[in-house]
Amino acid sequence: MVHLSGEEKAAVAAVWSKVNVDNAGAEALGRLLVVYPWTQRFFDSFGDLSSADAIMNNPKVKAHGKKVLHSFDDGLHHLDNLKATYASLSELHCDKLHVDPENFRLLGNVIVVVLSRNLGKDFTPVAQAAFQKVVSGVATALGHKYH
Amino acid sequence: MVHLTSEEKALINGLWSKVNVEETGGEALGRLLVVYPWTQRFFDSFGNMSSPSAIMGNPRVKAHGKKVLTSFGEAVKNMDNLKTTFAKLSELHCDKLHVDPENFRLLGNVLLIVLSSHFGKDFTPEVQAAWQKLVAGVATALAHKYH
Repeated sequence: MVHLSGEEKAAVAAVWSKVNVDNAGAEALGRLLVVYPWTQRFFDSFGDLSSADAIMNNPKVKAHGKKVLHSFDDGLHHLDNLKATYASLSELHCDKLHVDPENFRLLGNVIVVVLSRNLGKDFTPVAQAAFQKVVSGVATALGHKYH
Repeated sequence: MVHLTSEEKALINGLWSKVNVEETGGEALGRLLVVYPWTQRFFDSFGNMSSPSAIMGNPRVKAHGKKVLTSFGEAVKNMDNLKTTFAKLSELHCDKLHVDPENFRLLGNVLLIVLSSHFGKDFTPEVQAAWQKLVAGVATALAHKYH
């Protein structure tokens, strides 16, 4: 559960309205794979991940990144109930995908970097604080069903 | 010890040469205090930190931010020797300032967000990867003398 003040909610809405979720998702997943190369192990079937350029232009990375950020978008609309929102995905990432939950925090940080890069000055300190709370809440929710 | 390839070092230096240390330092420290409010406890004597705009406009925050980032510049000059470079600061932060080393990682992440917001397109995935390694190395070096 993430508690955002009125000001933080407004900042999140203002930032998110300027985000192209498809492109940002592709960029975030691509950057995760470049900056934290061990994460590539979860995407063996994606083809060419041999260089930063290959990763950023890989169509399967882009498609999957888009999927991931649309799921994040879902979280933004259910900040009062993230654990329920991500319960199934949490089970999937634990039982089928075997993803270390630390990687959710890494992806969250990359999403914040991507937002900051794309919005420049519009990514205000208040917006950053709000999004940092959100990504942290989403990471926790995704780890919640782990056993 | 952080192992950076010569390409990574070139990317780090390339970005650093364009950084306004005074502004970027002030912004990074300010954002740390806004996004992770518990960090304000180390700066009791700094005066008004009652709101994000008070923090970002606070002259002592700006001055100290400049000092912190100037010190970070030493890391850029000594990428192969971070532990020695930060040995004294590590002792200071442990013995006198009592700062939890986790806060060094948080500041490193905030610095990356500020750089990405300033540099936009120039903050490529490879640049991000190189800088992420460097800030992790600095955080580790600053924690090295902790006991």
